[in-house]
Amino acid sequence: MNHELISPQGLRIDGRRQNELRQISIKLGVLDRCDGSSFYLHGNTKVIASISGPKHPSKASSKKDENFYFNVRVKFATFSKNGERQKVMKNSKLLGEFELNLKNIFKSVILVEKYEKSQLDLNIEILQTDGGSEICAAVNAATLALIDAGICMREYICACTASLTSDGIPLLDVSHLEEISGGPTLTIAALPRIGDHDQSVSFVELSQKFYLKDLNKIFDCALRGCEKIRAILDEAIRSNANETAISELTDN
Amino acid sequence: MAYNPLSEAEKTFILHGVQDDFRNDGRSRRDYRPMEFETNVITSASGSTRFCLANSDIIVGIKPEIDVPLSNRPNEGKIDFFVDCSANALLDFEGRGGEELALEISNCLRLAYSAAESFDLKALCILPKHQCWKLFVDILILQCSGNLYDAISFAVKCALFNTRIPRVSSALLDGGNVDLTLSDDPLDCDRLNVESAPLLVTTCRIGDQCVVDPSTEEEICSTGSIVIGVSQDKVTLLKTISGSFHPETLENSIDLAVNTALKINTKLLSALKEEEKKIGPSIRHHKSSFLM
Repeated sequence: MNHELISPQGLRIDGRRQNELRQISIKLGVLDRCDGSSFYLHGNTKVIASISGPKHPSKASSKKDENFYFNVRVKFATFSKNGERQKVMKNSKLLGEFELNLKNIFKSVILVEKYEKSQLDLNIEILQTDGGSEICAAVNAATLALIDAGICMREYICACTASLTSDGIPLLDVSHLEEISGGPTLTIAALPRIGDHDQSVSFVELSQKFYLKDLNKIFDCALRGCEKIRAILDEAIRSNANETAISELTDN
Repeated sequence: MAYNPLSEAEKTFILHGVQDDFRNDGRSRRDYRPMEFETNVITSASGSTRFCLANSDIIVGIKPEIDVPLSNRPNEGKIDFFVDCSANALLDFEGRGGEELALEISNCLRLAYSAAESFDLKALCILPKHQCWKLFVDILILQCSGNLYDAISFAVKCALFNTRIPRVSSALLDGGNVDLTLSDDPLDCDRLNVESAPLLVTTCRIGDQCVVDPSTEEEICSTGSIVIGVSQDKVTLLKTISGSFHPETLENSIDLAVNTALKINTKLLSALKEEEKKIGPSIRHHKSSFLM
């Protein structure tokens, strides 16, 4: 069942080392009809996230007894997976859980008290997927879109996966191929460590079993992945801000 | 379509501009807004494009599947269209507003592609009466700024050009069961002839004149619009979207649409060939593209 996830030379199936991420590439402000948007590419996963709001709550959402209306909608493109064409998923349980997870993750980082009685819509289009790491890509893309929209957040929130080989070596950022070859997968979303504030984890999902003694190791690996992703997101945000500033200056 | 209130003065400004053949963005009545496309952006689809017409942003992905031909058309393949509106493309797309529009667009495409002159469905047949390819053309609207019909039909044409269908190396009929052997080489595949694939051109009547490629603002001012499907120099589809037309105006707008479509067809095909020459048939690796 458990194939060789790592070669004797220390290389994985796709040539990465044990603690390397897949290629990440980011674009901000890809759509101009909404308040903030981002395109996020992680390996073969492609996600577009967009934010509209904060705005006056619509009739449908204001029925709910909440102080802050945060709507999340996730859509898988029908051509997003390899192999057969996907049926259009509507109100499926899987999608519902996905949306609920995202909602909970982001409610913990958005400064909700600043947006009392207003509505925020997060819309995620998954164009192409590479295994079960869609939630990671969705979280990271949504973080970028929220920042692009200028929504106040406590910290960046980054998500990452990790796995374990049969020899107990932790693997960072699991690809589809590694996922289906039978390794257990841990998915976490975390607020990385900044200054005195310690890291805090706001989402954990574990598939298959681990020995408890390995849990620390793999958790650590995933957390380090989150920190790495944070650095990448931060750099993208900063360089985008620089570019915008420069183009504004030259325009005037 | 979109909620975009215009004052009376603004409407008059647009109307007068159209009358003087000088629209509010500087175009003449026959001009299209700038277009941009990129093929092969989704690796999990057999053919894909991202197409932009001004601010409209569309992604098309095509997946072929094996199916049984219709009994009244035993030696033809199938093609079907599905339009999906992203919730943030237009405010109206939230809820059910987008579904009606999506249905209308996909029906238009289905009609335009069903004409024998427009697209050769026989090329999709594997074994007459028994097995054929069915192309699922999925259209994702990310953003819309007027004139969706045209932009989508151009995008579909680009995606069909880019589509690679696995080559069937042998098809045997064994007691009613079909035994297909697909080529082992993933690069060994069939391409589709899209030269006559229909283009939809929407003409909009504003005042007494017809314009092509209306922007969202112009769509609000129009008193009637009609979608005209043109494959090469033949009209394969006529469908009014709103309003009514005088027979003479109708004739004029068909002329306008056919002439525009002919020009766009040649431009589009040469651009597609040029892009393929530059990038090659393989999956793109350069970082400059939108979806990379």
